[in-house]
Amino acid sequence: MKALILVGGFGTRLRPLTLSCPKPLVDFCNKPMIVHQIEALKKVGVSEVVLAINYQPKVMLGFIEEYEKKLGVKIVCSREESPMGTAGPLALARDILDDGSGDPFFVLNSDVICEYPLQKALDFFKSRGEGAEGTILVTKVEDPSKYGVVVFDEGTGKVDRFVEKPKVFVGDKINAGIYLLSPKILDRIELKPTSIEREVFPHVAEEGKLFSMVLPGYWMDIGQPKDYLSGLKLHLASLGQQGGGELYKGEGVVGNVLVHPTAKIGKGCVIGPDVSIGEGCVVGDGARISNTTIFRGAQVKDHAFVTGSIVGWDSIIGKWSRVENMSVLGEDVVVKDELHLNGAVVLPHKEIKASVGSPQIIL
Amino acid sequence: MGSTAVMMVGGPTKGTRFRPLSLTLMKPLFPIAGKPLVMHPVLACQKIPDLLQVVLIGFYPEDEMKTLDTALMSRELGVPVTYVQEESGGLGSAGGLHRFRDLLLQGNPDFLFVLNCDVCSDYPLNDMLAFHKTHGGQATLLVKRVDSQTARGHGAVVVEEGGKATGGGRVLHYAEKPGTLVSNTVNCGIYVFSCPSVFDTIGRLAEQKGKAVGFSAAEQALVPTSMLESLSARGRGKGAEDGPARLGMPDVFASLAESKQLYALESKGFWEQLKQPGSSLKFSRLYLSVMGSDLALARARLKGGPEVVGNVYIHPTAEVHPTAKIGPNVAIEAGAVISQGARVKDCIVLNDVQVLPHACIVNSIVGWGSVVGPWARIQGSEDYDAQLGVSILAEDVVVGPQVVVSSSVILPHKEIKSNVSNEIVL
Repeated sequence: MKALILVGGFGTRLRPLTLSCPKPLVDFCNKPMIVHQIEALKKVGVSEVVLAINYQPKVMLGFIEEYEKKLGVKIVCSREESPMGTAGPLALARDILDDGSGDPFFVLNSDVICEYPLQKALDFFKSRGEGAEGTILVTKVEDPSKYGVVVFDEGTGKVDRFVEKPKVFVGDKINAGIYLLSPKILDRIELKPTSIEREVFPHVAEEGKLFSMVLPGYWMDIGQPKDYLSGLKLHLASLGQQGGGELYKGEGVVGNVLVHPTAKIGKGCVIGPDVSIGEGCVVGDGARISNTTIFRGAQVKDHAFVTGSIVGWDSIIGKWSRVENMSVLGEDVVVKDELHLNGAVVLPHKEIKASVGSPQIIL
Repeated sequence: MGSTAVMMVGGPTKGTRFRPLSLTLMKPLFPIAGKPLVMHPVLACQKIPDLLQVVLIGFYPEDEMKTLDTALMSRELGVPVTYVQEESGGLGSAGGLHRFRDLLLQGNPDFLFVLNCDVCSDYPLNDMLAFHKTHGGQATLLVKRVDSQTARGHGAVVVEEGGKATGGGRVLHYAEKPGTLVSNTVNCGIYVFSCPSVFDTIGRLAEQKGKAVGFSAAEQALVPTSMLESLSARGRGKGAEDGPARLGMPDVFASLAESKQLYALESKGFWEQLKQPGSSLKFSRLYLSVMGSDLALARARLKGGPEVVGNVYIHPTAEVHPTAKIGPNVAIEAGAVISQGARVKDCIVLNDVQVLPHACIVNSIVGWGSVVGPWARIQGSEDYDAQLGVSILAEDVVVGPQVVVSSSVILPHKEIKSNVSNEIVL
């Protein structure tokens, strides 16, 4: 089977992290975001993944080379000369996606995280019969008026219609950005910028050939820092429930915490809830960290306090410094001792020598 | 009586101050009035009599500096122009010079000029040389009188009274960025040294400083002789394991002032330092003001074309509609298009920008490939050194129709659909 991951543009909403690497390579729970997706795809028998991207930085090629070997999945980049929307990339990668087997293929948005119940989706797709052209995974939300709502038959899953940002309640299930599609749908897509949600799916639904499956478990679009931390909380809770033993058990741990085996944690720290600490990180003695992700190679010095923040690769937080309130430190940022960073968004390679009292971008 | 000139071009970490423009192009290559920033001081070296060579020293990797056309510079000057990379980690500015001693002393120059690339000046290099020859000291600094607030952030120079008649005098005291006011006269970052004696001074100071950070006498007693020897074999002035001592120019000046070898000449012309990206508008204005002949060409080409006010540089491949109005103090780079009825004033418009009809851009920098929508307004304040003063659109920014961007900084690849004011848009 084949899959296509929609990567798209520069990931500007996830800056300053995406100033150092393309969005799909930004770490999430100690793995590049996209690796969570490729691993799940491999589990259900996907052998080749197409990354649809409209710019191609060199680091992407390095990533592909490394992870093709690690994951045992063929990864190719389908580079768009200009943005192709959400459907155009399918036409561009048609020769790979339609391999003649008639098997369906997966389409995933790279920003989305969930438990990836792809086998269930595959079983559901097959159970809808020969004529079905697609299955959309949908997820329940509390505030459907912000999203694209999918109205469908609760019994069969057959999609009736789509309502973008509904003003009156029509349903609480939204498009989760994960699809399983028959190669037949490719005949409907032209090689030009096209929206699959607005210009393709409605026609398939009209003919009664589009179905929805409700996604079990959590779902989050982690395309911006605030949602990234919400996603961290959900993902760690899910790891805890699955009981795979991945979560960190040690002194001073509160709630769900993920610590890379190579990371070092000092004495007398209190870590958690909802914290991930990456490869090679060093946390000093007496540090307090909660609701935060610390990327590969970063250091939190003694007695520092970090909460509700993202600490980028190889950054250093000085002793007794306090970093909070959605602070995001880019790669290789140095925060001197005893400072207070309240909502500071800091671009890569900066040295912070003075406190940032209120939310601010440090260029 | 030959001279060699050195350009200190800095490095990527210092370049963070030049964001968001340095996210696309490194600061030394940023175009000011149609030429890379570093080209202006390089071309100023034409004024130096018997120039032997120009050496650019920086931290940027050599392959990144390839876009800098040293061959073109060399043809313009008629002497070799080369770029050499300083080790990161930092020997300091003076330590860096010392490291390239052999290269810099090629052809046995009597004088060494050192120019920092993040300052903008009319470079009175021949006046400096003439003054330097009269006093017989080891170094001459170009200095400028500034207001007290500005003075604190620079190298403060106390010049001997009485020497003022000649516009210069001996330096009694040198203090780098003193927190308090030491003097209203500051170091401009443009120097002449006597060769080769200055290298002996730098070498001696580096050695002293290396010893100071390496081992104290008490510590040396505890260190085996073999280890001391192997450390000193690694090079002069190198001390402890964590690298050689940094030796900055201020260290050299403080020492030279003490030994009565340091002199200063006061600049009568313009001088500015590049701090925020917005300061490049100041640079642009000053360089445009001295680029007479080039500008005449730009104007001649525009006969029957758009209304041009004051000093304006327009690249030959840029297109300006006859109903647009441009200037004063505007540089429009290659491939940019200024459409009908557009107004551009006190701006740098970079390559391939499209300014759509009736847009108005004042006190702003518009980045590579950006698009300014019809009736949009991009405006900034005249506080060029403030972070949110001049409006800056980085590379590939799209500003929608009728949108107002005021004193804001927009990072690359963003689309601005509604008004922004005093804001950094990530």
